[in-house]
Amino acid sequence: MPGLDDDQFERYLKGFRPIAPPSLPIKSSGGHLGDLS
Amino acid sequence: MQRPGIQASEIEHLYRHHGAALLLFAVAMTGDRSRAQDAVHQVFLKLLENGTQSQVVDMKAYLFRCLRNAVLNETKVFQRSMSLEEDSAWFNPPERDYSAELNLRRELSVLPIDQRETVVLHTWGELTFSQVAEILEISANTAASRYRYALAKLREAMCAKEGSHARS
Repeated sequence: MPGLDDDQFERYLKGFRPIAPPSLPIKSSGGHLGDLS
Repeated sequence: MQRPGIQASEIEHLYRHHGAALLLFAVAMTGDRSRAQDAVHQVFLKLLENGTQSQVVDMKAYLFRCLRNAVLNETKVFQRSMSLEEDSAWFNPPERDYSAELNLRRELSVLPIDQRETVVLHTWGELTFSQVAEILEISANTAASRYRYALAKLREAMCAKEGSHARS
């Protein structure tokens, strides 16, 4: 990594992918917790 | 249920598309993944329940702004630095380099909060400096300079650690 310029370092950072959140809990029409995904 | 200006399918798409970056933003603000997830869910559940104001044109920036407000309202005291949950990853690292992931988290967590927000929003939120400025209620020039400072600090710290590991 040493010697990376700004653009290269930005690309390096973007290589770390944020972890997705769990599915969104929603109330279905039946009143139960459902799953949006 | 009234959802002015937005449909449930659009909300689902927004959650799938921006959920990870939103969660990262919240966890970078709080240091607490559980609280961050709650804040993200709160934003989307409110959106499902109440919709948006019809004048929202930049939905992505709107979501980040709502999330920031939710975190700030919940946190009350906005600390300059935060404690880091070492065993709770924020990222899937390239080449499964989990020590680099921890290193990145550590260095992000010691950045001043205003720089940390900016670098997360611009790098992983993929927001322009104008959008970042709108969310943080600062000028676009200030957003850009905060980002440059943050990037320089991150690079210096991460390269120093990389160099010390290489020597050891």
